[in-house]
Amino acid sequence: MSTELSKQEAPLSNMRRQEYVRPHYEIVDREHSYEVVVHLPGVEKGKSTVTLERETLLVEAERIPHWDDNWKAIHREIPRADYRLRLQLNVHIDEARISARSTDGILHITLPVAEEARPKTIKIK
Amino acid sequence: MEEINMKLIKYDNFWNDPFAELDNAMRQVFGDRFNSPAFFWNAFPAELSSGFRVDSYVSDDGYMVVAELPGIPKEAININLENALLTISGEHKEGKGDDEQTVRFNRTITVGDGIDANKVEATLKNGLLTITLPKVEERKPRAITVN
Repeated sequence: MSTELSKQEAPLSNMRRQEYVRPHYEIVDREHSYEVVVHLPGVEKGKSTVTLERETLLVEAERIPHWDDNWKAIHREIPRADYRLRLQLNVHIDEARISARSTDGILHITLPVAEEARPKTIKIK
Repeated sequence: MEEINMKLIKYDNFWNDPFAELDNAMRQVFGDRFNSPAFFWNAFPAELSSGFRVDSYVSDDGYMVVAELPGIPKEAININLENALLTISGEHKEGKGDDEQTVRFNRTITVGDGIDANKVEATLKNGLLTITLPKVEERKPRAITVN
């Protein structure tokens, strides 16, 4: 191995796998769209990202620490890792019309079904 | 239990998300209880729980309890302190029409004695409820100088 390459390697501590928490989510079936409701308690408005790449919907959100060194934990259940949710979609979505809004630690993503993927009624001549 | 919409989601498995498979396996064995804090904390009989996660912290000045309550408006949350027991409860209607469902939550946490009940404060932000419970003055630790 060349020394040049090994120099560029990150120290082991930085190479630790980033851990994520998979948030709770629900899917609501609407007319011509789906709404994905993701529970992200502890995430500030604007601190989550939604991306659709091909058929994969990815939600990532950064948690604001609710803990600090002045407080000693006596009982802990709330995870501290950031959130990540990856969903493989089965329906063709109109990417240009995807919208998302967040309120009270809940992210609502609206996925409009693409025109060509909507059910069609075929008239019999 | 998470409702997975088969129409929208193609599959929900390990390759898609490494945590999904484990979550599903745990749910099959433990059902709904898997996601509830009670599953992890039923070793503490005084802290029976239903449905939401809680952290509690202590400092010289008092206690702090943090609860995850995403999507719950503050009007729907009741906080009650009785002796050393803090209860967070409430109910909230979500959705409209056929989708409407009532979310009920209730949890009692043991906090320490000597809380100044008049100074307890609660804030709700980004789906996190934070309750601070200051200790009464005379209960705070004090450094005593030996003369």
